[in-house]
Amino acid sequence: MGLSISGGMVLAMVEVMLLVQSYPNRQHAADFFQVSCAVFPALIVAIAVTGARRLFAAGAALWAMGLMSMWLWVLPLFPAMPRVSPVYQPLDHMMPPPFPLLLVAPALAVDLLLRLAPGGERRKGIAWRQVGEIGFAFFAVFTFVQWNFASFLLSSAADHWFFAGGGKHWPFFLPLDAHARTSFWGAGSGGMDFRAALIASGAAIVSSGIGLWLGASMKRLRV
Amino acid sequence: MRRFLVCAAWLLFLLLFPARAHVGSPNVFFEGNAGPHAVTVVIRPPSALPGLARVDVRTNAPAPAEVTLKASLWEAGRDASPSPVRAIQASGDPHLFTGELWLLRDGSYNVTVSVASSLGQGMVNVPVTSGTFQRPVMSPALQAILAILGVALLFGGVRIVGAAARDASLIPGNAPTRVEFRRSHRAMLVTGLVLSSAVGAGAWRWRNLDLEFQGTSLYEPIPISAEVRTIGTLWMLHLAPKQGTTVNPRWDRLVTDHGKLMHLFLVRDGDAGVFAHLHPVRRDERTFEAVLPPLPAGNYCLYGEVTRANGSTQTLTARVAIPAPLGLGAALTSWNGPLGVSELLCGPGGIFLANAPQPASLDLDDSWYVAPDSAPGGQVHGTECTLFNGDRMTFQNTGPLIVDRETSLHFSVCDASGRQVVLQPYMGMLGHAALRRTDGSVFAHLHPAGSISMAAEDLFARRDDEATWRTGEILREKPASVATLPVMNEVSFPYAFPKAGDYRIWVQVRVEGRVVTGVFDVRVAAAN
Repeated sequence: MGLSISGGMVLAMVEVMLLVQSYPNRQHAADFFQVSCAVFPALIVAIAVTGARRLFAAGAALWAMGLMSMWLWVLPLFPAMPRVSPVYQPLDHMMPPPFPLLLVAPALAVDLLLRLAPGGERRKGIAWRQVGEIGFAFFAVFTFVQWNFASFLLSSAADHWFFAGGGKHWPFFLPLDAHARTSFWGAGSGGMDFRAALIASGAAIVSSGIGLWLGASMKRLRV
Repeated sequence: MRRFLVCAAWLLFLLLFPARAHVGSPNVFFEGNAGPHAVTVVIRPPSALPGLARVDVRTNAPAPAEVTLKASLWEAGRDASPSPVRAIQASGDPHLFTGELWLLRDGSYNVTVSVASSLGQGMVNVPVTSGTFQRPVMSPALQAILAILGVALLFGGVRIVGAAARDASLIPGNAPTRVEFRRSHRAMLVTGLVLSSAVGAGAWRWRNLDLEFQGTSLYEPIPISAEVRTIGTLWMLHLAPKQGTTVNPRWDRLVTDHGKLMHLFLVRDGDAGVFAHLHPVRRDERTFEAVLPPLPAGNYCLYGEVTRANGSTQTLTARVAIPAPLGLGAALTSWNGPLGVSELLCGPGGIFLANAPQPASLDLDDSWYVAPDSAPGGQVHGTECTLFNGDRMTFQNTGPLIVDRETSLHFSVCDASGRQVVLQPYMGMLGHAALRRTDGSVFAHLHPAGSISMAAEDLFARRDDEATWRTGEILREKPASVATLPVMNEVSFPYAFPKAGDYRIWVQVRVEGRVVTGVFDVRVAAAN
């Protein structure tokens, strides 16, 4: 349990660091998927390998979602108002962060793949095939889930305290019109195409390899 | 959407042209009426952004009075302003209220000061040009503390990795062997190299960011080139951005202030014995030109004030060598007849919002002053100055002038027999004053309403009127209402000197249709 929470906190911290480029409006842009696929597989795979139980990585991702969601739900309860001009987005409460990434889905895929091929960490050398499978699975599941979830977050159906979506929550100093709030940025020329997908999946595979090595190293620790 | 695009265009415009009014005198002074209350406002803008501007409001409102402050950015408008901040009454002074306002961006802010009392309520708009004027500097003590903590962090990280490499795989209770120690040393070496490289890369990145900040965000005056050209027997002053400058100042979005696109002040280098207040016309988006009056030959400092269409103001500075005048001008330098020299040379002034044709004469509002004994060293003027028409101008302040202490510089005009002389409007005001520290480090142009640009105040007053935007009327200055000017022989200018030292003040008023200039030397003492 403690390790799972620790893993969740690490994931949440990294999510915070990538918050600006992870806004739902950017979640159809190529760089969002490329950066996410380069960063998260290393952590999630390492957590999955280190964990003693099944679905350990999914549990950690769930903790991360819980931590991030807590800010999402708690911050708007506090009254606040901007004190500096310009105030393009009037606020009377603290601004919530966007709904967290659905890392639990690719984490579940990583857990399942590691369970299907257990003991990979005991092999001599790097299990290249396993690295490729895990990396590609992460890329495929993460892209599919997050792409569609982002569309939901920008729709009016997500305009709710639970999801804080619908393009309603913005820093007060950003001059955004109604169209910009609910449209995807960088989805045109900087959007996901075959080349961008190739780079993202490659990044996920490399990152997964690092995660396997890191997880195996951590497993050797004696406490 | 259209409004958004207009705002975005303005924002881009502002980012390209950071601006600042005056030289070495960043504070803003305003004197006027907020409804039934007389107010004097002093705004001390921050030197870096985002930063806090300190606002002092002195009012004659009877207690209990409430003073609130609100800052709104030009491109955002009043609707995009935060809630007003309540100014706090100073202890021991029931008429002084102080408050602080956050300024976020480069550009032009409007500070709305509202006063409410039993007499009623009213408000005034005070334009403030904001920008990053100083590179923030860390104190040596903080630098030392952070350096020590950074080194401790680096060595701590190396030691932790070394300990982990040595002990992590040991069975609890077993002592590390030579193999573990070697592994530990290797790990520490690699970690040390990695962390040192990271620190080096960070320092390199930080240096680049700092250079980028100094190049793009830190305000620097636009380098101006000034040269004198000959057209017949006229000397023509030609002002343009210096060749090769990285900034590309376009002067196509300027507004008139008192009917002039530029107020240009010339002060002779060294003794400051010659002073001129001219109004060049814009020939194109990169050039201003003015006919020079018959000034004695010498090197001159130039201060040109312009107001941009977003309400920000800027003082352009340059130096120029002016040769001895030719033809009629040469004779007029020693003219001592009954008329002012300017009356012989000036043509009727025009208000040119667009580019103007080549000027062939001085503007009717141009004026200049040549000290009778303008030999090097100049004369020292006391509290009284004899004007060229025989009248006398008196500096009324009696107490000492203290640095950074708000004061009102009072001047009165009497004729030779001591009778009061009525002042006439000079470009919509009772008078104009320019002051300069003897070393040239401070220069300011003041009006009875303060140091603000009246054009900027007018722009902000009409900023939120949709109709003026649609028709382009926003760029057309509202004519000054001279009918409301009081009939009096006195004029005053609110100001606080930013540095101790010796200053020369030139006060220009119009008497019986002629512009006359009084000159005073004052000493500003350091605060105790």
